[in-house]
Amino acid sequence: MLIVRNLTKYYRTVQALDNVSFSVADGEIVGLLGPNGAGKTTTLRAITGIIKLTEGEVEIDGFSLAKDEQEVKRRLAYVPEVPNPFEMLTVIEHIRFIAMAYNTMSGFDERSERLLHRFDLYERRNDLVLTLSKGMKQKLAIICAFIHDARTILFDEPLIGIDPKGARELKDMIIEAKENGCSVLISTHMLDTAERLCDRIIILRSGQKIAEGTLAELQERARLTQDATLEDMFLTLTAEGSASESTGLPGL
Amino acid sequence: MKVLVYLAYRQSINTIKYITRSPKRLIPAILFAGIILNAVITHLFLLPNERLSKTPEEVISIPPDIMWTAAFLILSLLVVWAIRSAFAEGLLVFSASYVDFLFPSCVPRRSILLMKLLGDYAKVFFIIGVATYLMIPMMIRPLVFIPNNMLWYIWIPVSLLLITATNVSHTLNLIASTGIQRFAVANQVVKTVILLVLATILTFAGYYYLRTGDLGASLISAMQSAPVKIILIPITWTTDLMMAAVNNEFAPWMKLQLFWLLLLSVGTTVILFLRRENFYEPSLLKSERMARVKAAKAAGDIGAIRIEMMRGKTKQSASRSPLPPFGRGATAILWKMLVIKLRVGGWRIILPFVLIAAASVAAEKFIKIPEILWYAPFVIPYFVWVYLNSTPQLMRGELMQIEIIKCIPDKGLRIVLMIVLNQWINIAFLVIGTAVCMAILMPSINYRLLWILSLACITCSLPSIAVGSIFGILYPGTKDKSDRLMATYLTLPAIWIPIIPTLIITGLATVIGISIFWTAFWLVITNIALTWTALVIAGIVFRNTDPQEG
Repeated sequence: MLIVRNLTKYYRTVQALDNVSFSVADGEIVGLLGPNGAGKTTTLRAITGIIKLTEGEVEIDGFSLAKDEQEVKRRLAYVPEVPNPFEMLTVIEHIRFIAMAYNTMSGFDERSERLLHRFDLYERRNDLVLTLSKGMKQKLAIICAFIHDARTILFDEPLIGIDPKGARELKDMIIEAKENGCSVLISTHMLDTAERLCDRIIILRSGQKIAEGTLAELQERARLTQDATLEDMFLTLTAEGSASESTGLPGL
Repeated sequence: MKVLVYLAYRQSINTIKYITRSPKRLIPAILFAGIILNAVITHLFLLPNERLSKTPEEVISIPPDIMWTAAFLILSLLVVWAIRSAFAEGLLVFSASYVDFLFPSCVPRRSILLMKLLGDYAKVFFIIGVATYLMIPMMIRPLVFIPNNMLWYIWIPVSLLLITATNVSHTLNLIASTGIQRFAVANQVVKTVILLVLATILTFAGYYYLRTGDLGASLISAMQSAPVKIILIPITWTTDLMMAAVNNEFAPWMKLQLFWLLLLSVGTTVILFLRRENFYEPSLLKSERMARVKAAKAAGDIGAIRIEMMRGKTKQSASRSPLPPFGRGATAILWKMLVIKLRVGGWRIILPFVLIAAASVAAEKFIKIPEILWYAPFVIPYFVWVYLNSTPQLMRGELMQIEIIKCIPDKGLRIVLMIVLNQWINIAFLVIGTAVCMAILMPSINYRLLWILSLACITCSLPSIAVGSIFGILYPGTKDKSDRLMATYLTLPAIWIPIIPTLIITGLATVIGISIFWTAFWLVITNIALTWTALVIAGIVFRNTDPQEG
């Protein structure tokens, strides 16, 4: 289970996150939405410990990032938006390297082979990462995320650049991870995918959480009818935030 | 730690395999290794390890205190730059792969830091070693001779000083990055310390000036005053050791200086290593920027590199166009390039001329042999030749925007011409600026030679750029670094083709004494004809080459 409490982040004088709190339960998929610059990637990077929190706390399965960083990271997998794998390793060496980093070498051959087949990279396993296309590198990053036994998986725009078969495989794997009790947090602009895949949605805007809930709860929050799509809700809620900011009135 | 060793080992092995499996990559690598090996053998083994026939005092007469002060000043600036940089962006730069795959992993931060520091220190020793054992002897051997066995008194102290400065920078950056308030305070403290040192130097200089009335001597005396030397004691030790190598006089007490420098570098490394702050974030901004620059460089994308240089500039400077639009069709490319040049140029345009002016003054003042000054204009063709070797790279950079350039409804020849013209403007600017600096600041120079060489360089660089550009278009390889080397190695001999007629004309002009007017006339006519021919070929190649194929 992932718990984020009062996440606040300043970059020098710019506030990127303002008191953001949420949780992702075991066996739950949560979508993190927001316009560009809303703070989605900052949130994910703060959870992974890449950037430091100005204030707030991150907890995974009862371990605090501040106190038990290694334990938190052992349970965490992260797929960045534009992955930059080590280009002078072969595909299989890269996966082995990640497995070594997470101390999960037992059953490596069987697991890596299965994942390589699922993402159509088996034939390229002995090729240098340098020779892979952008989409293939994205697939490699996804394989690396699934090669160790992560309990919480963070995805930053995971479907961009992946072919339809790869996208289907990824969605299936995310659902399998959910069924295995993993907590999954997906940052995305692909609202239709989020609508179909996620149990709950969190919407950020200018570093603040402006809405959170299931689709039905967001519909109610946005005062929209039942046939409204997530896109309608997203646009209404983010526009609402802008209006209240410009008028200075909360909720308008 | 084991996983990081595995990473380094596999990357090294794969890099060797990657290079050796393709002749296209292997040949440039062998050529490059050959050039380095040749330099090593020549300078360390073949050339006599003794002074040339003329003693340094007969060739150049820089007083020892000026040499000491110059070395001290350069080292001081280097140290200040290293420390100040920590407050701009941070200096712990990692590759984007580290950020994406190692920072979020459970590999301990200290293991990552240790590997990083070991790698960085090895690089410092390697770079300073190459500079000390190859570049310095190659550049100054005719003027100042340093025996091979004394060179390590430059290599080791300078490396240790830079490691200490880098450690201090990293540590300050880490401490300061834990809070806005703390950052501001630390930044202020560093600024104040630097200003205090500067104020101390100026105070002493003022005191000496009042006593002697000689500004230059006062500044030197101030830099050599005991308080300044004590405040900047590591730099003083390093300078003393460097001068010991230059003068071939090593005093036994200098071993103690070397020991203190070693202690400082080890001590600061330990302090840095014991810091508990998370270094990932301070390194992030610079790491990501470096990753973008690296990707752009690997692709030869000059445009992207320029964009990175633009980052951090004020919005105001980017919003105003420094040049009104002109021309139509392919001419727009030239306008675009000039706008970018002016926008990102700033001090980069001025600095080379400041350095050339300083070098001219120093040469005039310190070089004793008139022949050296008489033939000084030959540095201009040397500058131009160095620049011409980068021609294919600049062309490749423009080809990165092929989606725009190739769609322009104009002839291939005109498009290539505009790219060539942009580079030619750079060379012409460099040549004119250098010639003017030398003409004004070096009265002992051969003025006739200066003007003829300047004219020859300006005119013959145009066809040379056009020829070099052909190889830039032929080897655009945006995905393959070896294309860049192939283009460079083919350009090296090819640019001599249009240079030969110019050499003949200028040779005749100098020997027979043809007037400047007729020399200029024949140079212009010949080089226009050569440029036209090269551009026609380049235009055809441009229309038939797919830069994305590489």
